[in-house]
Amino acid sequence: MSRSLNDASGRRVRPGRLGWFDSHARLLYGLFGIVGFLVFWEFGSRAGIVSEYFFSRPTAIIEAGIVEVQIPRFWVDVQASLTEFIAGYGLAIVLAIPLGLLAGWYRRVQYALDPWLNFLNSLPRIALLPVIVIAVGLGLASKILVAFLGAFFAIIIPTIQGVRTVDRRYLDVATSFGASRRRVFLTVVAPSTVPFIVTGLRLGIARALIGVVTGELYAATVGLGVMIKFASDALQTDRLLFGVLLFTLTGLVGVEGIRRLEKYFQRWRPIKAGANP
Amino acid sequence: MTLGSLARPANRSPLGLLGWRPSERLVFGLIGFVVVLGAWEAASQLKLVKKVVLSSPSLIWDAAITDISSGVIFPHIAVSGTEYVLGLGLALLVGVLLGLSIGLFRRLNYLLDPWLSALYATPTVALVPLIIIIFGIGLEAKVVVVFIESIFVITVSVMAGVRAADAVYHDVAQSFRASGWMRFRTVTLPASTPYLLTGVRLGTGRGIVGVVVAEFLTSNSGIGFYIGLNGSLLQTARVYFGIILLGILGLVLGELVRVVERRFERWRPQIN
Repeated sequence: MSRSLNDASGRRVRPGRLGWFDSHARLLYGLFGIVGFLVFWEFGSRAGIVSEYFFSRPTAIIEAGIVEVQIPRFWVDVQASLTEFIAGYGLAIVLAIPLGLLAGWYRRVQYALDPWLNFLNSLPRIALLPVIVIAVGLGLASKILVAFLGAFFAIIIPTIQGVRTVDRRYLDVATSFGASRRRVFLTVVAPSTVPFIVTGLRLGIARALIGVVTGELYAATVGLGVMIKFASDALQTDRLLFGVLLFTLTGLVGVEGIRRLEKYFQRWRPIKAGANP
Repeated sequence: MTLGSLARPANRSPLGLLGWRPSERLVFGLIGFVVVLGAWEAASQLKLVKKVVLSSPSLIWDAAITDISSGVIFPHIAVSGTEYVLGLGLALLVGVLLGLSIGLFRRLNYLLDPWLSALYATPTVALVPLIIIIFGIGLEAKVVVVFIESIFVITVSVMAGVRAADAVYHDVAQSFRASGWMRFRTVTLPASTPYLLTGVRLGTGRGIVGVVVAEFLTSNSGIGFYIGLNGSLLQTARVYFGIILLGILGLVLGELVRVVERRFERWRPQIN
């Protein structure tokens, strides 16, 4: 996560003259942390220090995973969850970015939307699930809607903020040179909003995933959340944790994807500027 | 939007960043608020939308009055409140300590970073069924859910805050022979406070989600239970009332954090 050359106590990590161990400290400690914990989990569980009944153990989770991927039903679940996630998240992107730009650009639109945006954003929209299920049923649509509601607000709020915090000097320069409003928007406002949008996209992934999981746990017939629920009802913690692991991987892949996107959009900057709030 | 662009005097900044006009903000805010409420009520009265799906502002109001005056809602509020306060308090305590130590000790950071990244990316609600297996369906399970939902954002924010302390400040402190404790107290802690508060704000929101989801899945009291139960009974107005209660809680908590934030920003010189 951190790429700084200073550690927190302010000591500079001196470059050069580093042994192999020092230059790979991050990797080594990380590996040690992962392996150490897994070994403790595995053998602690076998020795009865860690309750296998509650926490399972790493090899049992892998075995459960191997069994699971050979069942056709599993792939139906994966497909359902992925569809819900992609559709909900995609819909949120398509609607939240243009709306956010609009609301940020037209002050009065923002004023009119503000009370509702603030209220809906501070609302745990997950709580709308019962109503959503009543409205659109148990199918994919209800999960798409929940994922959408989660991601939409996560994206639109930073987007509005991004438009509103464009550096005034840039706007002044653009208007001084007689740029039309359209041009100001396209060449100044839109580019400087990108880091904010990317932040929203990153937050949105997590929110959409939470929506999919909760929706499926609450009421659904297919999906990985349903698999987790069935596993928990049958007290199969290994299968349950395998399902959780899949959601973790999805989250990691998504966040990494956004990080790449961020890098791509930042590449024109001469030095890394801390533009991201 | 045409309204906005037509009515704009030519000399005003396109973004309205120049003068803040509370009156205009208030007026348009009120218009937005009233228009949506009115459209909602009208659509429901004219039977454009099913009442069982969208209810209507007046029905929600009636439901709220009924359940408040009969006192039905208060035990639910108390139960959810207890779960929430305990879980969030625990997450704050552990999250801040963990974040500070990870931020301070490079090796601890290396050691825990993979796990933190993974757990941060996990939609932790997926763990709710497991937590229920382990802790049962009572208060403990919900406290743990709130704790797990909110601790990672707090830890990660505090961690980032410790790192955000400008190296120059550390150098100055060191040049003046400040002890480790003094550097921590006068440089690291103040520099990481805004980050901590960001973490707390994110954590409060996540915590509310945790309470609701856990109560949806298994419980016999609490606001999440109230919402879920009334959803099954097709009492949509009550569902919305429960959601509004949660929204008010979210707003109040957000405002509280903002007040604390302002208190800690007081020493900063104004830069405009």
